[in-house]
Amino acid sequence: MPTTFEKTWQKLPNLRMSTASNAICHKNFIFFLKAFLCGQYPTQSGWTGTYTVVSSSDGAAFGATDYWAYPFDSADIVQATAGSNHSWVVLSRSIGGVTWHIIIDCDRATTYYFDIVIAKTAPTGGSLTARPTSTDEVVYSNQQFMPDSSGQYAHGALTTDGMFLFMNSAGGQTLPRFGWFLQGLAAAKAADLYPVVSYLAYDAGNGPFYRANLASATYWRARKFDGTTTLSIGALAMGCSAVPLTAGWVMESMLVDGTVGKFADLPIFVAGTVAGNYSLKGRLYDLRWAPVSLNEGFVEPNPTDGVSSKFEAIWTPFSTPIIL
Amino acid sequence: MPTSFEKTWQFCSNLAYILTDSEKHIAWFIKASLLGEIPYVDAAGVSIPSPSGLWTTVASCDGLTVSASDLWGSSFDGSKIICAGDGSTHSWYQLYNAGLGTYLVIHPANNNSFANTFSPTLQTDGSTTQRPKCALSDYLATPRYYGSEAGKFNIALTTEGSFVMFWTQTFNSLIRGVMLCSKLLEAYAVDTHPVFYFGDPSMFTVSALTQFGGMVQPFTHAAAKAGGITYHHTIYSQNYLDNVALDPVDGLANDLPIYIYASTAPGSIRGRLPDIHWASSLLGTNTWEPSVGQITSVVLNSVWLPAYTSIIY
Repeated sequence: MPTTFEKTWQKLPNLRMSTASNAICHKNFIFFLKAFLCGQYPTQSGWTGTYTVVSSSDGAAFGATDYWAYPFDSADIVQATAGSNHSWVVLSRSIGGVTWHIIIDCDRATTYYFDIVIAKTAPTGGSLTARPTSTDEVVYSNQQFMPDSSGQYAHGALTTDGMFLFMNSAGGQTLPRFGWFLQGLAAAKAADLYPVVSYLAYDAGNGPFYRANLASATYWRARKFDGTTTLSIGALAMGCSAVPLTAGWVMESMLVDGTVGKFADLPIFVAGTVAGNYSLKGRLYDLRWAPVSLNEGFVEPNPTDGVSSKFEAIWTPFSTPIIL
Repeated sequence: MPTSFEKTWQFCSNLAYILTDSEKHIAWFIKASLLGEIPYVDAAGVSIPSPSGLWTTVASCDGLTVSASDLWGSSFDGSKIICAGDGSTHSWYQLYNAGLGTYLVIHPANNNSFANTFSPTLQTDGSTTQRPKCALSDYLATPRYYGSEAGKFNIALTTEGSFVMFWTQTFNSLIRGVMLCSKLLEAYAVDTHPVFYFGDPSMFTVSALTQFGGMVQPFTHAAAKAGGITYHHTIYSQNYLDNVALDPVDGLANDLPIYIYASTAPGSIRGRLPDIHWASSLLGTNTWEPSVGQITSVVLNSVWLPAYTSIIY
């Protein structure tokens, strides 16, 4: 586990979502992503690094207003396919001195699907029936999150400079099922004008931070260094692009670090995965490769007052036990 | 390639050794370079009158006498360096670096190999027929040389005493012996000896670095040698880098840091090598960067090494 962090993390774990119905629970989770990033929960008082609402739609009105105002009102989250009235919200925040934008688009009829958009160039347009668009956006299209309702929990962590990590769990399970993090990278090249990456995965069987998921470009979104095209990337498994990450992986064989008695960790580098775009994009802050065989949610150094918690292949900055 | 360094490096490069005395001359170069008896230059190729990070003499043997002084001399004299294994009369030389807390015994043994040993504690009981040894675990580095063959000696030394050295064989353009002693970055605070040793009879290949391995000491120094030898694997392979020679972002070669871990149970991530990175196999050995201007790094087999000039075999 990392014993110290490079970033200052602010955390809001184990937030119970609505149990009114499946649909309302899902709307609640979508709202949570926005409200958490904007620091709108009372427990987030005094947080820094939060996002601002640029514009939004609640399916009835749209504009440069927060139509998803806190507290959660399920009526604000209208889910319908693009072309029909639906909700969306555009958030912005400076990361590394450059403003980035996130769009949460409720353009799916199935209530546990949505679209997530990340862009450097400010999105423009937008209407009751279509989200704003950007010239350099990367998109998670028709992205699933947890279909469960009762017992669903949301977990968020935000650095004071705008990087974040989300998880979503069902309650009574052994794994989180949804995970999303966005980071400006350490050790990025000066010529890289797009040194921000996003990883988002839903995996009910293995968890979002399963090793093979992390190594797969399927779950990552980034832009080529000059912004001209999207960039296929993945996490380097000990410098090796082969998947699945199994035999020979050092974290398989190491549990307790023989030097400090803590569990081992290693930095995670991210790199381009297709010909023509092979590039070492940079290193993730604070999220580290973790021993796979540790129990899910293991917290170090103390189960009730820790520094890091482990989920499948990575250490996350959650420091209290996560309700799975 | 590393475009800037975390450490300050000093260089002696492309020093030809005497054809008829190559093994002795390499042994002397190891000792003389660590003592600053051969001229160093900085990364710009400018002479350094007083290099930093030098090692000091602990004891030496010229096959006739054992002394706390330098019996090999500050100028090469082949008669002072007798090459043979323990049990026969031979020379050896023990050095120490206070910054690293590390001892090195140079032993030009037979069979075209060295039997050099690194350790965190003083190596003792040396005689004219036996190199000094220590009770705690040490590491035997066996870089090779090939009889009377022409080649060149090279060392890069940091101002804190870490070094990487190698010597070449001219006729087949190969590196024929390497030694590395490096203080690790990102080491645990409780690790009392975060120093990595590596010595190999061939090259800086992935297989050499991962299979033959180097070692660091048990972090407490408490283990006896019998149970304390801790071989290492370098945990990043360069496989990813084999996909591409140059990064499209900046037109420079990709590189990856090299992390070291102790593979003996229970294992430990011990730290990272400063400034030495994995290189793409698509780049030929002796590729240097940047392609124009002052060289900062050179590819030798699978790694980028600090350099200020191209390597001559």
